[in-house]
Amino acid sequence: MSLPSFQLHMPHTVDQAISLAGSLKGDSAFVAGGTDLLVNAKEQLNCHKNLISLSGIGAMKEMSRFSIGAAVTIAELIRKGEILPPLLSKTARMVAGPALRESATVGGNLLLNGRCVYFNQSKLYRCSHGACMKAEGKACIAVAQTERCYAPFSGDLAAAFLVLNAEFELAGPEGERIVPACEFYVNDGIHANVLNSAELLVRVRLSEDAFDFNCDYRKLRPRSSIDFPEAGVAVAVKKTNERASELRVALTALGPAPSLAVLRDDQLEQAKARGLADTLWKQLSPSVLAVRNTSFSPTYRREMARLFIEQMLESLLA
Amino acid sequence: MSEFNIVGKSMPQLGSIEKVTGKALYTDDLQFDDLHYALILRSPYAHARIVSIDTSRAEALPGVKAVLTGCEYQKTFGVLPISYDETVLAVSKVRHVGEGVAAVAATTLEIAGEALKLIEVEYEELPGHFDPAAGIVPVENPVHDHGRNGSNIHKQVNLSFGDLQAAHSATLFEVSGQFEFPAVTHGFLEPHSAVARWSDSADELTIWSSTQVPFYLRRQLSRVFDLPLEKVRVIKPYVGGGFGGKSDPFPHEFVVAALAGKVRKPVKITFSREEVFISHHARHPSIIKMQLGADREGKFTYLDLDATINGGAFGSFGVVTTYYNGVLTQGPYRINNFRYQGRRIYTNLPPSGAMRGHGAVNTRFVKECLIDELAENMAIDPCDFRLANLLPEHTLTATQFRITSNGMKECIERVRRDSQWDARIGKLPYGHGLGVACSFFISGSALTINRDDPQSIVRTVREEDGRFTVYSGASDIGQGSDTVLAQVTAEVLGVDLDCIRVISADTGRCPIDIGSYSSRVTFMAGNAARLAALNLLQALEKGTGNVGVGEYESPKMGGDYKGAGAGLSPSYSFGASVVEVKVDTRTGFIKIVKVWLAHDCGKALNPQAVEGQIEGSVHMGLGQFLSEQLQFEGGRIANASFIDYKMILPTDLPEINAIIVESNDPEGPFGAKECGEGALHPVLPAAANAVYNACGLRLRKLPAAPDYVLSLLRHEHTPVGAKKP
Ligand SMILES: Cc1cc2nc3c(=O)[nH]c(=O)nc-3n(C[C@H](O)[C@H](O)[C@H](O)COP(=O)(O)OP(=O)(O)OC[C@H]3O[C@@H](n4cnc5c(N)ncnc54)[C@H](O)[C@@H]3O)c2cc1C
Repeated sequence: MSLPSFQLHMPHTVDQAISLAGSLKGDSAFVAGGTDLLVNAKEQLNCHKNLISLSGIGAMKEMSRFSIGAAVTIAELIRKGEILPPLLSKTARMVAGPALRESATVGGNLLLNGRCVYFNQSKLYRCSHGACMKAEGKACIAVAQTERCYAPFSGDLAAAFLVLNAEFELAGPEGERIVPACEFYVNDGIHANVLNSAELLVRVRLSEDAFDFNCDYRKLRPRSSIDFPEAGVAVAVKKTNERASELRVALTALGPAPSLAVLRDDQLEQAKARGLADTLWKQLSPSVLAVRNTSFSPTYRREMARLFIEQMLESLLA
Repeated sequence: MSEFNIVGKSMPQLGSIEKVTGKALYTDDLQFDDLHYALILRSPYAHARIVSIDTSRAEALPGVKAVLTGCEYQKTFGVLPISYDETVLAVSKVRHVGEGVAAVAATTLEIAGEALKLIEVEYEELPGHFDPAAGIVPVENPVHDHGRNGSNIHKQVNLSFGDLQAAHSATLFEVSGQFEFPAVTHGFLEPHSAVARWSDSADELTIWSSTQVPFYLRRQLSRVFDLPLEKVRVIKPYVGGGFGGKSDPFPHEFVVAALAGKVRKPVKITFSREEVFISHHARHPSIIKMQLGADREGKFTYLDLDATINGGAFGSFGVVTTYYNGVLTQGPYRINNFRYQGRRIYTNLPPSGAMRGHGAVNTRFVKECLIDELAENMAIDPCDFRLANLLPEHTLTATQFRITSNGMKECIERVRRDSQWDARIGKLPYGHGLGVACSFFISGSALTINRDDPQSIVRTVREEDGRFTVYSGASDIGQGSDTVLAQVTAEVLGVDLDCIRVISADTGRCPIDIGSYSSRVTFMAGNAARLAALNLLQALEKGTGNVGVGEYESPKMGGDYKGAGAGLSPSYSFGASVVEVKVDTRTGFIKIVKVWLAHDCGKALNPQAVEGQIEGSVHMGLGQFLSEQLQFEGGRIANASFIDYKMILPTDLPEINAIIVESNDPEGPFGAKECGEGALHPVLPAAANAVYNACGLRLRKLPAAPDYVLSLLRHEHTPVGAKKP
């Protein structure tokens, strides 16, 4: 199967990339590792006449204790992971498989296109079944008759960055802006984040605070060797004087957007009485939009997420 | 010291270096002058009449050199003479989503792709037949006109041996169950690919194809294109795996031949992975019911089996599959009273066919799981129970299969010992378990599909430089048959392996071998090679020539009932596996901790290759057990890609202990028999029995996906179907 033809552009700076994107008037996309974009393009999904490669932009491949360039590969993040909060390399190790991680980037992971059994299909399938609204069609198939897209965001790293309170540095024709991870995602499978067209995710920033948490990540997936998450849960616990003073839980792959719940100080104390996992789950569940559009049933995915929260809290608080 | 110089020593397979360094040329790699590219337009409907096809716009596209539709070649073909029911492209109606409707050849792949978009097909949709159970009675618009009495039944088998009624009265313990299995795919890496070229005189056809059966392909090409056999040459380049998914003549091979004839240039097609999923001939989805009894002494009294298998749209190997579901289930045990009722139903799904372990994997699963239940009800250790019921060597089964060598007992004893079964069974904590199961499989079919075909002929020639060339039709599809032929020849001739060259699977140069399927090649081509070398040796010693020819034919054997030939083999393999699992009872995930698998391959000609087959079998078996499943909805495959079809990866595998047992078959070449398929069988039921041992669940369908396991853990804590004494 071959890729549709496209023009490849190779800018060397963030500014060049943005101005290229601006001048190509919407018929372009950024491509980093291509492990998402090009796979879809082969099925004639999300095709563009112009691809702007980020692989030549040195500034986006830099990594330090508080900053990770969006074009850093997942493999690189693992290799140099010891300068970062351990949660990041732990999570990164669960992304795809080793060969893919050499190309796959952090930015691409955070901007992964939503996945759905009705969207990630061949042309023949779409022609036979009818396409969904995220492809050529008009409505959602997973949830019949709706005009809302439920394709779950299926990247792993987002959950980790959410609990680490990361910030995303964006740059576009209108200038730069910083968006906290928890304000970046939108619960809509068609366009699941606040990024404008021609806007670039340049890097992810961490604060000193990120190093103060004990964290863990677990994902539900059919095969532990390669699969996308069907539910991903990151948990972070901050302890002050041996007592938990802040709890952060993020979910991914349970709806078009990852989501975050936080419990601090007093809330935390109150929640203990009602059960921490229950309280956190209650906070999170309005944003959980798991429907029958992945390999496992939505009920099972929800249940496992809930269980993972409980089990991880248990061991992190012990 | 071994009595042999070459046989029995581990060595890398011929061609390994070429493969791992990327030098080996697979069909798609072959270079041709002026090569044209073909693509097939596929039906979006599962069942529909073709009202009209308009190809004029496609034909007018610059770069398009030929367009083909089904009406041009209407002669049917297939692998079994009793079910020639496929055509090159659909004629007048389509029977499954993805069936070829038209094809184009163009100067580039891109142009071919554009041309497909310009072909207009008008369909009149018909209701689809998807439920095999509904197809056993007469239906409106059946899939084919030749179903029994207007139904969708393709093949029905009713066999009965012994006296079931009498057996019932001797029965003290009884178990039964109904099991469901989805379709699974072979998962070979190299997609189907074929290139066809006609001679300038347009009366000779050469085709290069990724096939397990060059000689069957030649026969069918000659039939469909009305050419004498000698005017068709099939060449098999390196093949990246087959496992049964390349063991039929496939429509695309005829499509490139037809297009190449029109263009008068070589034409190639290479499938996308989705096209492989549509065309592969998956393991049949099946519903299997079984009842099994034992008497007071712990001996089997009877086996009563009923299988409904979903054939999809065409026949393929299905008639054989229908038989194998029954007759290969009896061994390795002595069961004198045996009934089998089986049927294969046509549906509007892509056709099912042969896959590693052909026809017997699912019924084996059912039987070995039920044996576990029976043993538990009788409070006998499942290894002991099996040992007490084994067929001996040199005997006949109820179906009159002739058993020769039999290493079954040793296989059980080895896995039992190596897994420390006796010290651990019943003593592991909740969630942690061990299970055991056995296998029984053919080393090729004693009868050939086309009555007049010989099984295998090998011709070995001494060359000018004193080296030897072995000519054989056998298809090396990655399993290493070339290496076996070289080893056997070198051993007989008393020369080093590097004095032997193998030229194989080219119908224009090699004598016939009917193909790499049903685990026949080591046994049959191996025997032919041995004879050829012996004859050559004699000729050289006598100074009468430089050529030796060997032919293998199976001895006469078998019963005289209808269908007696199915499952008949000159020799059978045996095996046993112990699987250790841990079940996470909160999530339902099954972790396979360790696998022990002992396989009686007669004699391991190349132990490393036998171990490879065992490991590959464990991999494939665990995949089907844990996660593999083709998902259909409305006749469409919803997961026709390797990300959505959950084949497990090497890193998902546990430690595998491959144990070779050698029973030295009296008729096998140097005692060898099969090891490529039988080793798959015991893995799945051993894993299921281990799950029971771990947490008390009796699985009734596959795959044992975590959500299914969890639902069982919640709802069904007691074994079903068991009659307590
Ligand atoms: C078999 C397989 C298994 C996989 N398993 C997993 C898994 O387990 N977990 C997981 O999270 N992912 C998985 N993936 C998805 C993917 O490989 C990773 O998410 C990867 O990190 C994506 O990064 P990329 O650089 O390849 O993205 P690309 O394909 O290059 O880009 C993805 C999207 O992001 C946009 N983009 C990329 N970078 C930027 C940027 N800096 N600014 C603006 N837009 C940008 C692109 O335009 C595109 O829309 C899997 C993929 C495959 C093929």
